Amino acid sequence: MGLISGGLDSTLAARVLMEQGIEVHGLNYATGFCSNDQRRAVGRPGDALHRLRNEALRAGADLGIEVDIVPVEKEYFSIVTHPKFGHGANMNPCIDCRIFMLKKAKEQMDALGAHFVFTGEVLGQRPMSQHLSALRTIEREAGLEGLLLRPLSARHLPETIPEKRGWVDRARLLAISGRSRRGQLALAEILEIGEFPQPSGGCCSLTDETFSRRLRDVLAHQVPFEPGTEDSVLLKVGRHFRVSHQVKVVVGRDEAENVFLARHVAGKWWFEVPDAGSPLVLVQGDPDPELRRFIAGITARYSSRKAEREVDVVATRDGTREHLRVAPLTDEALDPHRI
Amino acid sequence: MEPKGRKPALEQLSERPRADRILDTVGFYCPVPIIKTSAQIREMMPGQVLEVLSDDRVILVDMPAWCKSAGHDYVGHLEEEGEIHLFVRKAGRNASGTVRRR
Repeated sequence: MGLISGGLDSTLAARVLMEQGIEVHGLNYATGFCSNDQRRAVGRPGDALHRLRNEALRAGADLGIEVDIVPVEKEYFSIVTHPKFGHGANMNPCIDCRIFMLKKAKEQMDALGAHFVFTGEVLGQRPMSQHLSALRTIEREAGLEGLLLRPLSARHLPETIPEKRGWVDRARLLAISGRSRRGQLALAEILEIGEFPQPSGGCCSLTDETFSRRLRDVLAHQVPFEPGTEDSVLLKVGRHFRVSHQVKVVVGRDEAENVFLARHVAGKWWFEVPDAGSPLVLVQGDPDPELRRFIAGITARYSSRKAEREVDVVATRDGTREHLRVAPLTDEALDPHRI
Repeated sequence: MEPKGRKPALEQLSERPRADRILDTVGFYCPVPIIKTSAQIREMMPGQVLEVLSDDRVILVDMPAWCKSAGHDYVGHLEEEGEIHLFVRKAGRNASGTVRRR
């Protein structure tokens, strides 16, 4: 059983084992925080399909192995909010994330009668989760001591049970380490692995500073949030402003975002400048009349009439429409509210 | 291994295959349609055809990849009224007794 992200490292790890005649089964956990999934939910017309594809499925097809996509969103969210080993630079709970996925993989290994679990981890590649002590902690906490093989760095690591028992030939495993990807790229050429996403720090939104700031805001203000739904996508879309403890505003930045936001207007206030280039401004929470004027000012600021002294803005909630004439807000007035 | 930079085949089917079951995933985005497809096809008989409805265009790339990975036959797709209809034939022993891959 292998954790397959579809990136180069997990693809190589699988291929290295397959070259030894080992039957490989892939697992990919849908956490609800994949930025690629979020991009495709917004669906910009110019996005090429192959750039938004699910890379784990693509890797499975290229490798000729089955990759199970396993939904874990709700369970996973608890380690995002309360990670035992803490967060990385942003909301990314990297060590807890690996432990979580490997515990799940162990369950599936036991259920399917597989012999061991492998990953594409490379010793020293990532500062938080791939140094030697972290790799040992992850293995122990996941309950996989001796049964977790990292084929790309195996010869830098203690011998595992699959190697000791001769299921895997240690001599044909690798000794890659560090942040340089030269070794992996050379191996990809040898194994004729022609297609893989370019390394870019992964596709986890939790490593993104802006997304993390917005997620912290959601948690701090107890905004209803269900991971793996469009709640996650909403954190990636538009400009966000916290205008009061209970009211947040999302301003669409382009047509695709406006269309996406328009799908969420039921039961909510939304603002626009009619007969102008206007964002759709979606409101989470119930703004009072004074706050609605403030939000109208935000809407005017991001419309094509932002240079005018006063702008007509329409606020709508279900059957209610309100006409407001306001001055566009200045960036100085807006900045303290920006999330 | 397929060549780098391949593009998905997006031609529609000329005829509508007969479907044994229909799965509506309209409104869901990746990876939910694939997860639901996988669960649904597990309950079907080898050789049966599942029709999957989706409005996520990237499924035109993901579904053939999933089929190849899982060993099922990707029959093709049709587009009707803004929805995509994808057809997947479950692998295994089919009605004529021929053993399929997996």
